[in-house]
Amino acid sequence: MSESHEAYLELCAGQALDALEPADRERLEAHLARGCPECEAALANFGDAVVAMAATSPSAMPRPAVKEKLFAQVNKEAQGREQARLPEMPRPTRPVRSAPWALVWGLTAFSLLFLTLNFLNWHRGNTLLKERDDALAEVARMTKDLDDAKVFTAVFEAPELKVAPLLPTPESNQKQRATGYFDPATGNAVIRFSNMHKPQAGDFELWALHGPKPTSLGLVQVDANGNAVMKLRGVTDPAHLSAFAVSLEPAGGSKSAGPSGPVVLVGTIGG
Amino acid sequence: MIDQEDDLRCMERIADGQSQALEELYDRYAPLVFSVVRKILRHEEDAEEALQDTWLQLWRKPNAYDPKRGSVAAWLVTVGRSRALDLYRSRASRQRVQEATPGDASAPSENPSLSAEERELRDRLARGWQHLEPHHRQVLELAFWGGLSQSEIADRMGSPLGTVKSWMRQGMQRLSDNFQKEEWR
Repeated sequence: MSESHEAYLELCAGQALDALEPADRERLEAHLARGCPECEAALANFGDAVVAMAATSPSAMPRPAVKEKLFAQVNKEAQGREQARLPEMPRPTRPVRSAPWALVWGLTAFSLLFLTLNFLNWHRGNTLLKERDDALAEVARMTKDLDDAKVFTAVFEAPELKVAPLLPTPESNQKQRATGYFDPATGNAVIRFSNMHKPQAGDFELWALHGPKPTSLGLVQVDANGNAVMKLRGVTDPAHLSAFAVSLEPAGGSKSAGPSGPVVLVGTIGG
Repeated sequence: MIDQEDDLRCMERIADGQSQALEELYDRYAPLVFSVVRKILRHEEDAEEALQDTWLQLWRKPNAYDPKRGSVAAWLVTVGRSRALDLYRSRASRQRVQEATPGDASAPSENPSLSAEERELRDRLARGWQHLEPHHRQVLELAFWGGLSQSEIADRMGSPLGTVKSWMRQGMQRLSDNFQKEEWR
């Protein structure tokens, strides 16, 4: 075995532990792309070592509620996928016109029948056209939803993904939490909230902080369980966004340029 | 225990949009991945979030897994660990907390659902870990639990980078040999 190939096997160990410097990772990826069964086998073996290390951690079980919440989300996405697989829409067709029943019908009767059938055809055609228009509108709505899903899924896969855990300020409810996922390249962000229980007469408002300057990102619409997800497109000046914060405001949000009520959550953009 | 063939069939079904297959992998590996992220994060809710993110990534991008590069179990552990380290770094940065390296968690309560056989196997793997040379163990700990790169480990240990790379490979090889001997497959 050549000395240089030994070096690749060493890189495989680092790769399995995600401990390579970027240059080494690129070197190994280029080598693997050319095809190397020996390095692939080494990676598989080192994967076993990773599982062995994982198994040395004290065993623990996630709460059943974690699985319930996860699969509620998964099933929701699965339904969305199913709806995206639309059947081919029925196209309005001109019904086959019936032939006159018999010559025994008089010309008048034939004319009446002809007119009646044409009216029915016209009416059915219109109904199908309306159904088609409704279906096209539904397709457009789902296309937009799909586009949203792509845009916000891309946030989680962004190479420069920033994660900002928002933690409660000392005076606020210590159970409430949020996590911001932010792609500085696009300015798109997803913020997930939990345990946000607001008073009846008030609203939570999300803020972006560029240094000390706050910019409102809108009200947080929490559900009955205190959960919410906000999806934001193109947050202004993403390169200088330093933190997210949430304040408790009068119903409808702050009337001023910044928070008017107490800040209840805050988190800096990490890397 | 790992059944890679069965796991691969699950991956195919997940790629086909079958959430039941995702659930099968969750039931099989969530405890293992959760143990890892919990040890790194030392925070129950953050650990749960990292676990959920791992399975959502699996659901949304099953093709990111390359079977030529290792088992499904190893891939899930790697994804979960990576997500946990990201969360840990962000949280430490926000809180300005310097608490040594991640992974110093106090032992959580033992998982009561482990079978006697699995518990025994874990004990044997732990003994295999303890039998590594101290320098091998230190390199692997800093990489896996601390999230340090090979260069950072070399700096931390005051050892040449080439030596660290060799130790990493030797330690991983010994762990892998021990793992296969213990018949987790």
